[in-house]
Amino acid sequence: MKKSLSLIALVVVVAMALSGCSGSKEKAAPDKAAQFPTAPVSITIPYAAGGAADLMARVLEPSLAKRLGQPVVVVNKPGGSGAVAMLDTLKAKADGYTLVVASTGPGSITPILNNAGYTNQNFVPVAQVLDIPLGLCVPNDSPLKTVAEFFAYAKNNPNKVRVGTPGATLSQHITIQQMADERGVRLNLVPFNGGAESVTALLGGNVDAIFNVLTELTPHVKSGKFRLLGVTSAQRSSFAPDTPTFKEQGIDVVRGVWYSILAPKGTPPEVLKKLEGAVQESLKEDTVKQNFEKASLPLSYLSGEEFAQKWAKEYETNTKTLKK
Amino acid sequence: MDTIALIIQGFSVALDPTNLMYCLLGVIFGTVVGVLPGLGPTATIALLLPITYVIPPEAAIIMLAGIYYGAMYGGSTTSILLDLPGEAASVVTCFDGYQMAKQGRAGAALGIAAIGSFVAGTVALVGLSFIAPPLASIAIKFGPPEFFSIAVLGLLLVGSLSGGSPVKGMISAAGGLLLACIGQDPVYGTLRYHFGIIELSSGLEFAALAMGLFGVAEIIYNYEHSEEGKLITTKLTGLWPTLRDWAEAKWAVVRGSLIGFVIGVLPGGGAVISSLIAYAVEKRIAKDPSRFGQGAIEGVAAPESANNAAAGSSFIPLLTLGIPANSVMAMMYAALLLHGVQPGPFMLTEHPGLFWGVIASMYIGNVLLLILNLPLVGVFVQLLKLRYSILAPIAILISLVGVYSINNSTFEIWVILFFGVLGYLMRKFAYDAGPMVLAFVLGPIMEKAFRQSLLMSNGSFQIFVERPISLVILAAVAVLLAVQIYRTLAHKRGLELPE
Repeated sequence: MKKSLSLIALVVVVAMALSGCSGSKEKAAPDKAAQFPTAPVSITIPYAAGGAADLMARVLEPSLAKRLGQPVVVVNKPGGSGAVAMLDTLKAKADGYTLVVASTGPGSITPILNNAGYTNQNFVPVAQVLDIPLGLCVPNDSPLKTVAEFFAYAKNNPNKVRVGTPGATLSQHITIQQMADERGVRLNLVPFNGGAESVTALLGGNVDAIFNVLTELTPHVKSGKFRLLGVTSAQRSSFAPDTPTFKEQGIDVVRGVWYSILAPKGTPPEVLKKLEGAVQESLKEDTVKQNFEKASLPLSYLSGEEFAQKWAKEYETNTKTLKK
Repeated sequence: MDTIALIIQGFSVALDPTNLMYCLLGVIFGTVVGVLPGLGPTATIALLLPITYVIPPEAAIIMLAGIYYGAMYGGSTTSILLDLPGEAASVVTCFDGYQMAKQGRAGAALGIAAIGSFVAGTVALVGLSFIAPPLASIAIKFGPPEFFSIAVLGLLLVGSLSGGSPVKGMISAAGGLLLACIGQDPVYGTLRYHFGIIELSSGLEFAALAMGLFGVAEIIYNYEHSEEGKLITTKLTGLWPTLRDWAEAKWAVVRGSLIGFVIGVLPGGGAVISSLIAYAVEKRIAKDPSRFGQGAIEGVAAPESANNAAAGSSFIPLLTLGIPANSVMAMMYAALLLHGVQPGPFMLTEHPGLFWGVIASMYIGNVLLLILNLPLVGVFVQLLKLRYSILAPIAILISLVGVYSINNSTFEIWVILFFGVLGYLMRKFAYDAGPMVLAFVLGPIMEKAFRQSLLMSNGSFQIFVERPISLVILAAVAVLLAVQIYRTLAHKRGLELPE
């Protein structure tokens, strides 16, 4: 008797939970776009906590929340070189309540290389927030002083020079691969999971060089552990004013890793405008600017439309080079 | 001498009333998230990070650190009481902890876990205070080949942990490795075994798999085998570890602490591997290994001490080199940056007040946690007096809410139920679920490290034996294997087992 009673209790609990599961696809009725936002806005980060995308969202979060009048929730969904977070965002309703921070990898590399199930056409940009140049670093005791010396050395030692990158489907990996291929240099490229892992590998001497976003390198350059051979920005970066650009060193590569906020396609234009305005206003705030500076993140605002053009162009070029 | 003076200076920071309050707040938050399966310290710290903008950096870091080590204290509670491991580091605790609860010794298990955690936390702190920089510079030498070798060692230990038939243990472990392949491959991100289901493209969620295979399966099994609404245990003997318990467990605590401290320093985070190795060591040196899996108190004391020591020592790479060793440390890194403090070699000289203040606060936090947790043992044990017909639905509900909260996704609820049924079937046919869960954790570590190593060496397998640390670990693997094979053969021939 008692046993059957408790069994019933158990079945009821499970059944209730499961009925909740099946109902989840029909969320509460959509709010009118004009009243947006009437509920918390979530921003998904395609990486684990702690990287540039994560820092960016967390610096922006309080200020965005103030402007939108609703809490902003930052959710980390790493995995699949960013594809998991991108696909997750597409599953959500296109109502502006679910946004994703994309960067060069999940934005214009993963979908082309991996057949990940989305393209740039599935998203509409809200705004670009950051554009971080890349840098090539060797340990401080290395005899190599310039990018040219590095490639010359690697050419004379084929398959000997180990270069760490933060991930195989990131701009960092693909850019150095392209540079090496163009020069007939054979590097051992080792993809790690994120910037911190690749920095650790160079600190520990497990790779001979790393090619990574500048902001993850500068602390170790300042501490005297790494030597920065070159930077891929068009002009010298304010974070490393003494290091010449690749262009200055005769290597015509200008590349950066952008970080932009995207919404699923179909998000109402008035909602997008409101979000874009909130981002733009937040970036003008002094405390936000200071926080970005403290975190060594170079602000580079582009409106949704400006960024959409830049993205489309990059996507097209990458489709040509990567599908080769 | 300098260090001691600096620690005293640190205590003057940590004992400041504001900082003391944030420390208390942090450890209370930590205990709560630790006890609730699913909600982990990373998510909690992420949520609280914006709040820390407005408080001074010392207070912010003291609170966030408190959440982290506080959660490690609480992590064992549901594992012991309900066989529900909420995080990878407490899987091993389930093996003997839950058996102890079933024998009415939940109080002893929870008590030894709390005391072990305290001892381990203190050992880690002493290490952190005195030998952090040299240790960190050794730890970063661990590259992909070393991680591969450690993962191989871990897998071998998983095989030997299994209580029942070794063949079934291996089948279970192989199943875990296969399950770990679901999702994206860890190096190039190619999709595997996702069958077009988007949720599977990120792989199975650890907590859903583990809580299904352990907790949910246990409940189903109990319903089949229990009499009328029976209690988990009919007798509740003693709320505290007895003197005999303590005598049995004390060296396990010490060994677990040391193992956890050393392995926790490795970048990439060693909480799981350290708890696994600590358990395996105890089982191997025990006079009567057959007690393990049947409620041996060392089997709780060693892994619990190890994962707490690992939590403490994982601060070392962050504070001395500026490298976050796991996702929680990455959050701390972000918190420090947002306060204008660059974690790394200069922290000691540029922000000594912060550095030593945080370390001193951890000593205080550890004591607070012990004071907080010991009375809680009594409260939690009362839970087991609930009739099973009430306790089981509550346990199921906690698990379902817990796994839902990980990704805010109902998919995880189906996953936990699927593995609940699978776990029940495995129990019925005498397959141990432990090897499956642990292999699931170790598989991706091993695969990633293996492929990265080969990329480093341009395809040459010599890299695994050329490097001294890797060679030593692989040699240990070979010896262990040889001993195992020799014993099995000797056993088959009916010879006396050499000890």
